[in-house]
Amino acid sequence: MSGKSRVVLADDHPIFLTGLRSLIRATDDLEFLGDASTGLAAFKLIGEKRPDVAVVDVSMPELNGIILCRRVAAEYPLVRVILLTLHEDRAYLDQALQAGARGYVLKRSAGETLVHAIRAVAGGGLYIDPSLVGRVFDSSRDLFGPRAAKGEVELVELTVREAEVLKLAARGFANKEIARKLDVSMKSVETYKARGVRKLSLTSRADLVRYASAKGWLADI
Amino acid sequence: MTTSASARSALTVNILQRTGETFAVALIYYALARIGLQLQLAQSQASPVWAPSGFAFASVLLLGYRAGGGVFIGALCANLVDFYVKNGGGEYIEINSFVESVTKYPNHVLLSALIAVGNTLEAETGYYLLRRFTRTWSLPFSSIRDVLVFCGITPVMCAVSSTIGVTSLAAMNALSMTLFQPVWLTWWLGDITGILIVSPFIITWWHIGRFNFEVTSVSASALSLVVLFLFSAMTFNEWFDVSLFRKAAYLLFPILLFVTFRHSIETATLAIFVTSALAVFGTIHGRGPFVREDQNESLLLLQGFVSVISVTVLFLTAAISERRRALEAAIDARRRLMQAQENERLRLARELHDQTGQSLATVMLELKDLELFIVADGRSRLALMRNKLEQMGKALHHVAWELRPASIDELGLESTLANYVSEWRAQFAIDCDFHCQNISLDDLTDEVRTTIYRVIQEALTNITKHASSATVVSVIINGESEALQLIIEDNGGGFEARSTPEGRQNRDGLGLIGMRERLSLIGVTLVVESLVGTGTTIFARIPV
Repeated sequence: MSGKSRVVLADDHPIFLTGLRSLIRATDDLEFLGDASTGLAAFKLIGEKRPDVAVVDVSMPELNGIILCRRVAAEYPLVRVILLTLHEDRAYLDQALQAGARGYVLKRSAGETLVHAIRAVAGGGLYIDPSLVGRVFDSSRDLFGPRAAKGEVELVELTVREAEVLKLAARGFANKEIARKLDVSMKSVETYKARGVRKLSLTSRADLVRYASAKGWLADI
Repeated sequence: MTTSASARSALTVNILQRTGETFAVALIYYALARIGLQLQLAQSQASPVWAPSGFAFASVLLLGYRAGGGVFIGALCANLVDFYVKNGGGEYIEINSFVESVTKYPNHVLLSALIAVGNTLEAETGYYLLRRFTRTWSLPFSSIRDVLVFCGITPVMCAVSSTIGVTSLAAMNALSMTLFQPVWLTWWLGDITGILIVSPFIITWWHIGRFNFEVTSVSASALSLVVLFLFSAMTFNEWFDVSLFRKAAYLLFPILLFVTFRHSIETATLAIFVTSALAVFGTIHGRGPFVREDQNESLLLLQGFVSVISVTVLFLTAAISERRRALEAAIDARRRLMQAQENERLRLARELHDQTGQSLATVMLELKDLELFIVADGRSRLALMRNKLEQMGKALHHVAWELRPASIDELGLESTLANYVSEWRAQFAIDCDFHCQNISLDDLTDEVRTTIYRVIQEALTNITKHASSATVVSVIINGESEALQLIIEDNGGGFEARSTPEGRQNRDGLGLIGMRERLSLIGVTLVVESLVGTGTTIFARIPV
């Protein structure tokens, strides 16, 4: 082995592809093996050349980058895929990682970051565009604690009224409707609800719905 | 072979059906005529409301010209029997003496036939004129123009019957010429009122369910009609003996108008019928506000009254119907506008994202490539340019995303919403919790998905604008059997906390109205609950 990382490129925009090509060629430790401008052609090329790294555009005709990535991960697990994309939404990133991509690079910053990305991925790492990294770790899991249903740890005792009010609230009834159903005042509904939620140490209405769902409260409607 | 056999059997069915129809029309016409002859004023022998005319017109309108046959047979029989009764035949017809009477007075047969021709031609003339002057009669009495035509042609068509009938009577010496004018007038007015009162009733009840009126419960309509019946009976039949009502028939108008506004067109025409029937019945029996010394005056007052209520109610229902259609058209236009706006946003977002974004990426890559050929001084300037372009790209992406995230259509609504909520949380540092259960949002129609996305977007924007004290926000989508419930709750200050009129107006003026409008276009009402110091919750139950 020469120690060079062998690279295949796939993008349906010819000028962009030309840019990428010269970027790879200008880098000493990278070897350019070939390129393709459709998803199917790229898959074929990868099968033939078995590169270390395949740099693949997400939106390509015939076979989009995500599906291509999934196929490559299944059939040629040694080939590592870096997805190139215009999408900055985190939703797309989640999807790319699920498909087995080892790198996720924004097209806009490809000039700066792609070479680093290829090196990192070829070395067995995972590379995510710096401008997206902040968002990955910014999710609810890290900032506001776990969002799992808290159904397991019920040591507190709810009063009958509190439980009734919470059940109805979890099913999506407004306070006014709950007050009418239970024949109590709006103010009391609010009080019962607040007390019950505090006892169960739930933080939001969505938390309450999750809790109710785990307890099976929503099933017997 | 089978084709011709089935064609023959279809023809047989057709003939049977038509014969049945003709027979039914004749029978009903005859029955109504017999009843009508009982409802005469004692002295003048005139029927204030000649219901058979109304029935004949309605049946021709509903069945076409061919209903004329039934009308003719019914009218012929009714007149023959009438002559027989008036010649002392008695109320119960004995076949033998009836045949004897018919053969004894052949001119009665001719006269009856002529009168029946008049009755038939009246209905057919009306049908012809109505078709001539209304554009579409598919939904009767639903436009002011149609009602105008209906009321306008009624006197014309009735002149046909009264002229033929009275002329025949005079020509065959059954009527002295001096009575020609008054009898003609009575005949004419009786037919007019018959048509104004009976035809709309039959036509609207025949088409029941086709009128797209607000669905009010049957029991509410029935209750209104009972009230109307009681007051009409008080007025015309002196029930409960309330003297004010006996003198002032116009007191019925508010009730009639209420029925017309509140209930369907069928109820309104039934209301005309109920009030008119009681008015005729009472007046004939010498009760109510229209009883006068001179029976002709009494007759005219009664006919005037029933005609006026009929025409008023018909015009009113037409106006209500037109208003309703205009409202529906406006809603439809707003929906299409909303859809067009959404499409345009999608197009713009795609354009910005896929085209401009791609070009920008290409340019930046080219610049990077260019760096290799340029001296150090130029490189730093290039880096600066790239920096600027990077910012442009970010801004561009944000604009496209705000317009309409491509992920709604590409990745699905649920992950788009989860992403939107987490972006929002990061941007405003408010804990926002998104929970979606028991439903696959991507099975919903495009319109519903867009509405859900926009409503959540607007609700969250509202929270940043108006409830900045909020620390916990929930966005919940919960699938139920035939609906999904959308709930957005914050623990901000609530409405009354900003109870200055200006503050509330702002909140209601901008955010809520937009959400309400969007939801109303898919037939959903927004419920808002807000408590001082506790926060605000928005509920929307969307049928799926």
